[in-house]
This record gives sequence, C-alpha cells and structure tokens, in this order.
Amino acid sequence: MPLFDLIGRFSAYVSYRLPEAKEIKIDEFERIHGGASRETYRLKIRYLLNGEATDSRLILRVDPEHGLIDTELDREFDIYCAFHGTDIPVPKPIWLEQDPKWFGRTFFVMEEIQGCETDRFKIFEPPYDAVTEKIAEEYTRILGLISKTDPEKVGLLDEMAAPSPDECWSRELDYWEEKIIEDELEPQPIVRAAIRWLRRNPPPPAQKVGVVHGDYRVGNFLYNEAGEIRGILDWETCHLGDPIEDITWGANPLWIFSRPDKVGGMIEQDKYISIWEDVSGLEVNPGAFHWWVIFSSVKALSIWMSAGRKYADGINRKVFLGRIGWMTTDLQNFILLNQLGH
Amino acid sequence: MKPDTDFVLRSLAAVLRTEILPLVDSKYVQADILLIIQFLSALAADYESAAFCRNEENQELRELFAEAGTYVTETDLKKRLDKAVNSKDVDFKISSLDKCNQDLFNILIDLHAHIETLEGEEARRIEQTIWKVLKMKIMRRLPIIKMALPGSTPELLE
Repeated sequence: MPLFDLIGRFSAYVSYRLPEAKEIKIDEFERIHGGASRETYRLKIRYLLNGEATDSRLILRVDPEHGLIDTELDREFDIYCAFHGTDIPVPKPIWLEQDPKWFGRTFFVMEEIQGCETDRFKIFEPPYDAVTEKIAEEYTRILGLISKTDPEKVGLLDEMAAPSPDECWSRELDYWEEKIIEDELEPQPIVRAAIRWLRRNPPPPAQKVGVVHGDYRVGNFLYNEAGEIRGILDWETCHLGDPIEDITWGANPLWIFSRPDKVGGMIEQDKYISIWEDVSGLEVNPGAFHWWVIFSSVKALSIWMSAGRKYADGINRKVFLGRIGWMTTDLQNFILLNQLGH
Repeated sequence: MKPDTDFVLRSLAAVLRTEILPLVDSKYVQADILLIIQFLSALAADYESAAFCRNEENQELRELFAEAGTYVTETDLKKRLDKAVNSKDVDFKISSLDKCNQDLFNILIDLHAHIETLEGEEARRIEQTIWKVLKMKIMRRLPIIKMALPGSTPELLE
C-alpha cells in the first residue's frame, strides 16, 4: 500500500477511535527499516480534544502479508499490555485493530519511546561507546527480570500454552525442525547433524517454565546516551518455556559477528551469566547451556531458511529477506560448526 | 563478453552509492540501497568462483563416498554411494552443478546419519572426514559472505 494511502487511512482510523477529536493531522509518517515479521511505521499525530491541542508520536505495527515468521499480532499486543508499567520497560500499547477494513491487514499502535537508538552496531560508536558496559549490564539485568517473571501474575498463562519442564526442549526443537523441513531450498547437512545431536543429548528439565522473549538480543531494545534501556521490543516469538533459551539466543555470535568473544559484542559471557543468575534467581547448568547454544543456531537457521524460501518463491521480495536467504544461512552454519566443535 | 560480469556488478554498486543514494530522502529506501550495494559486491565475488567451487565440492563428495563405501553396512545406501562415485558433472551450467551438488549432499546426510550409528575407529575417521568436507563447504563461501555482512565496507569502483 502506498505511504500516502496509509496516512489517509490511519487518519480515518484515529477519527473512529477518537470520535470527539478534531483537526486530526498526521506528519512525519515514515517506514522504519528492519522488523522482518511486521511492517513498522513511525508518525506524529496532532489533534484537538475538548479544545486542547494534543500531539504525540506513535508506532504502527502492521501484519505483513508474508512476514519472516508467522506470529499472532494480538499475542504480541497482549504481551506489551502485560509488561507495560512493570520493571520490564516496553512501549505503551494503545490500540489493537483486528478488523482488516482499515488497512486490509491487522495492526496495533503504541507510543514511540523517543530519544533512543536500536541499531546494534551504534552501541560501539560515539556517543554510545562511553556507556556500552552500562547498556550491556542493563540488558542482562532486564533479561533476568523477564526470566524471573511469574507468567500467571502477568496474565500470560491464559495467552500461551505452558509445556511441562521436561518437554520445553522437545516442543521447541520439533517446531523449528518442522519449519526446516518445510522451507529448506537445498540439503542442509550441518543442521541435520545438529538436530540428531540435540535429540541424542537432551538437556535436563527446565528449572522453571517461564516467559521466554524468543528474540532477546542486540537490535531489539531501545537505548540512549545515558546508557539506559528504555524499551524491549519485538516480542512476536514470545512463549512459555525454559528461560535458558533466551540467554543462549542473545549469546549467539551472529548478532555481532565481528565481536564473537562477547555476548552481543558487549559483555563477557561469565559476567552475563552471573548477572542473569543473580537477578532471575535461576542457575545455568553448563550442559543445558551448551544444548540451548546449539539449539539457538538451529532455530536461527530455520528462520533464515524461511526467509530464503519466501524470497525464492516470490511471495516476499524484500532486499533484506533476499540477503538473509543468500548468505546468512551459510554464516549461521559456520557458527554452528564451531559450536559443535568442528 | 566485455566488460566482465563481476566488473559490471561492482560498477552498478558504485553508481548506486555515488549517484543515486545521495538523491534519496527516505531513510527506509536509503537503508535498502545500502543493502543492495553490499549485496551486489558480494554477488560479483560469487560470480567469479561459483562454477569452480561447485565442481570442486562435488569431486570432494565423490572421493568421500568412495572411501566411506567400504564401511557402509546398509545395502541401499551402499548402492547410492557407488552410483554417486561413478557420476560426473554433466556440464558447467550453475543449475546443472547445483542439481548434482544437491543430489550428493542428500546422500551425504544419509551417510552421516548411518556412520554415526556405527562403532569403531574407522567409522569415527569417516565421520571426521565428513565434518572436514562440511567445513570446507562453508569456508569456500565465507570470504564472499563477509562482504555482505552488515557494517562491512564493500570494495567499490569509485
């Protein structure tokens, strides 16, 4: 849909949501790069409400026709609702719209957290390089808080099915293996060998069945020049499972390939684990950690293969997906080989 | 055919960077153009080595199958290995080389799973050789992949 069309339709939608608002004006409407599972837009909105001028900046997350991962938009919105106002910083959710009459697709709206950056490489550049360590520690501390969360207390038990502690690993592995079978464009001997290894060497049962963000890594949070993390984003693959899944996903070297010796290029692994254990109250079993490290690359490969499939089939021709399909699978295979000790 | 294809691809990337990118206001489109520039540079490097790498890899797999065939205990798999050992790359079109490559790697997956179930030093040695072939497959592509990594500076013709 052309951008100008989106602006007109969104303006009509705001009138529907706020019938008493007058002189609605939308400016600075632009698409944000990245976010392969949803189309994301930023905009400024001004209107008069009961004679008072109101202006705010919003983020619009639209379900694409063919995203990188098939996820439920309403679940992501509910997760923002569950965490907003807690110690886990997330943008304030505003509206969830499941009637496709507005954009032809479902979407949700949330407040933009301003004055922040998400770029995973800028963390190492001025002015953020002065606070990289602080960002890293905060990033790890917040992950500990997510892992510590009781899913029932934030209402997520009603939203998501909870596996038993001993089936956390197999549920995830079954799901992502099935995606690999569906989407691989060529034989994948390394990931096949890794899956066989994972099945032969299952991890111990999860210490607790907790909230797993599902994509907790550099690039998915908002940070500022003071070294604060103001928002954790991209909850579309959030589920209940073994919290160790999140710490190993964030530790995958792919995210900052040029700095593989540190988690997210930012923090030594020992320190990362120590902060997470202190905050979450959980312990990292080395065997379980290693299992989930290997799994993180299998899951990532599954996602990259899906990108390649969607691009090759012509159902999503985004440059981003093409590049993932063409090169990231091999890069992840290189990482997986190292993780398997080869 | 002059200028060469890889030269043309790199030149297209240079035009995008020096002539088109400065005219674009949208940050979203700018980011896409930067991705395309990196991508074109990597494709140029891949073009040069594509046929050679596939042919070399197919030969390595046939040699591995010849060595492993002695130790394989499954009759069907042994037959597939023998047939693959005697196969050839029929021509040097990328699509033909890819077809052979995929057929050979499908056999390798089954061979790998089978060898893992066997005991003894020879089985372990074959397993190590399989991992070596898999590592070589990735190492051939790695220099090209690195050109397309976020944050990399692709070599451009300015």
